[in-house]
Amino acid sequence: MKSVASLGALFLLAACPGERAVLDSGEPSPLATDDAAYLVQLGLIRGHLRVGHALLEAGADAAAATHSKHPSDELYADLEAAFEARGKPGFAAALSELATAFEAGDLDDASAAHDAVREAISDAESGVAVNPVKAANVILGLLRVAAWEYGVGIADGEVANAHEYQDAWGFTQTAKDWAARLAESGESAPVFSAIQARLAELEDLWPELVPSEVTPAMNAARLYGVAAEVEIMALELTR
Amino acid sequence: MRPAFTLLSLLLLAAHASAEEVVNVYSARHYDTDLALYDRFTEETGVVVNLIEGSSDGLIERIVNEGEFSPADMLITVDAGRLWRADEAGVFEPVQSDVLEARIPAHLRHPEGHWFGLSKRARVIVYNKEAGLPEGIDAYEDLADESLKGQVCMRSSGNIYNLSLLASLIEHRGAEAAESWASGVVANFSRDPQGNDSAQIRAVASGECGVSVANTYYIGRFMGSEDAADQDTVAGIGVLFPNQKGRGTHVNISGAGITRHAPNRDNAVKFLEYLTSDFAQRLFAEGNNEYPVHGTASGPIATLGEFREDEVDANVLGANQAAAVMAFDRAGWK
Repeated sequence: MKSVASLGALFLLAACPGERAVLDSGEPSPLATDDAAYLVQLGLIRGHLRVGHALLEAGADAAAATHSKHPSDELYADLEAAFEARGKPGFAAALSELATAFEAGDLDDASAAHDAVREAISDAESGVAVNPVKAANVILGLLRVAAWEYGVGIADGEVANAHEYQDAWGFTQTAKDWAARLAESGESAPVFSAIQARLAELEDLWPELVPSEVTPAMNAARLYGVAAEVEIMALELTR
Repeated sequence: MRPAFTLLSLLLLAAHASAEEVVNVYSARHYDTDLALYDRFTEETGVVVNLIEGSSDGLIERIVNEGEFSPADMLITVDAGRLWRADEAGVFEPVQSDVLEARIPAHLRHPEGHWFGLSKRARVIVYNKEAGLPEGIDAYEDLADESLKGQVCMRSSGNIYNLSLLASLIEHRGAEAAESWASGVVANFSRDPQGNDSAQIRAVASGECGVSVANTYYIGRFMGSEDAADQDTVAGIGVLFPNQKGRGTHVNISGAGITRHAPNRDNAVKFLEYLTSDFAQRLFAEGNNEYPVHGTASGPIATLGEFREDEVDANVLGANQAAAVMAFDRAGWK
């Protein structure tokens, strides 16, 4: 057994400058060729929509509408070239319909639109050959963005930005979904089960979706720390 | 089903953790020889090395962000200036080890054990061999001599190696003299600062400029390369260890420290001590064409010969960093 391992293929969102899975280096977007970066970008959209839908269910219509617009405002444009390169149709119209439905505040319509976009994202994800290391990189990418956003949302013991705090929840939920999927079967299932269990311990970072007060547990360092632990757990996949 | 599965995963994780001793290493070094070294440590001790790689500043930022929840046990990075930055950011926890104190010279480690030098690199003067060493040049200070007008090329002032070199000059000559030196060097530039140390070496070899400074491991890489162009480059330069008649040549270090919240501190100390063993020192240094902190040099750089090194406390290379930045800025060194 090799004792030293490193996720060499790991794309680094070291500084996490906002929620872009694209390194801000002036180089062409890697989304067309970097599967993990592509899946993270789609995962960020999933996270936004998930938190938007949860807020709508909770009656926070205005906040939900804001979250529903962010995928097209912040994330979708970077994906268009990747869709073309990967032979995928994209889902701009579905995103637009979703934003309209969320704006109107009708939960049934919004749920239907949410389902439609999720299906379109699944189609965009299909065809990407996902191996355990790649999946770990996606989980890690989502968690790093989540940690960065959480740190913006909760700062100096106060709710500094509820929107970013909510984004962090959505991205972490998407990371959990990835871990759960990979934990279902296969040789790597124990590693992803362990990751899944670790992520499950983060629930108290979000005692409420619309935060009213900050508890001692609400500390971005926990999310950064768990992201690092996940990276170490995932080293097992390369040994 | 799901709760039961989660419980199972927890049990698996617990079993895994209890069965395996680990040390979590965050490293800014990326050499295959390091991996072989870490494998040997595992064979000898049973402690598995979990290696997380990244840039120096990126890893420091990560450890700071992770705070008390960081799994990092150790940070390995290059340049005393960066070790100092990490220490200033509260990354390290002091270590008292008779083994480390016996094997690492005092000037190459933090006085209170926050970090320890593991290998050295010298910052030397390189000159165009065909043109020869300009007359009267034998110290860094001479690079500011007006006789070298239009002959000096350098990398940018923001580079940590240049910052550490100027920090050492500040320590020896004072801030005013160091800034005056920087101004003199700027006046001798043959071009605006650009490229890394390799680019300076190539520029000197091609005759684009006459003299520059570079870390010895860059020269070692050219020497060890099988590429014909690299061999031509190294054949086109001469190497001078500066200040041999005085304080000695400026050296810098790769080094490591144990992190403040290290969850596996005992293993980390054991690993750090292992890295100073004779066997590890040879591999750790050779992996990047560096000099060991104890023992003799090996690999291509050994052919450069022995030299007297500046034994200024490596800690001041970081402590004087802010003053060096300001001096470079006022001197107009881009």
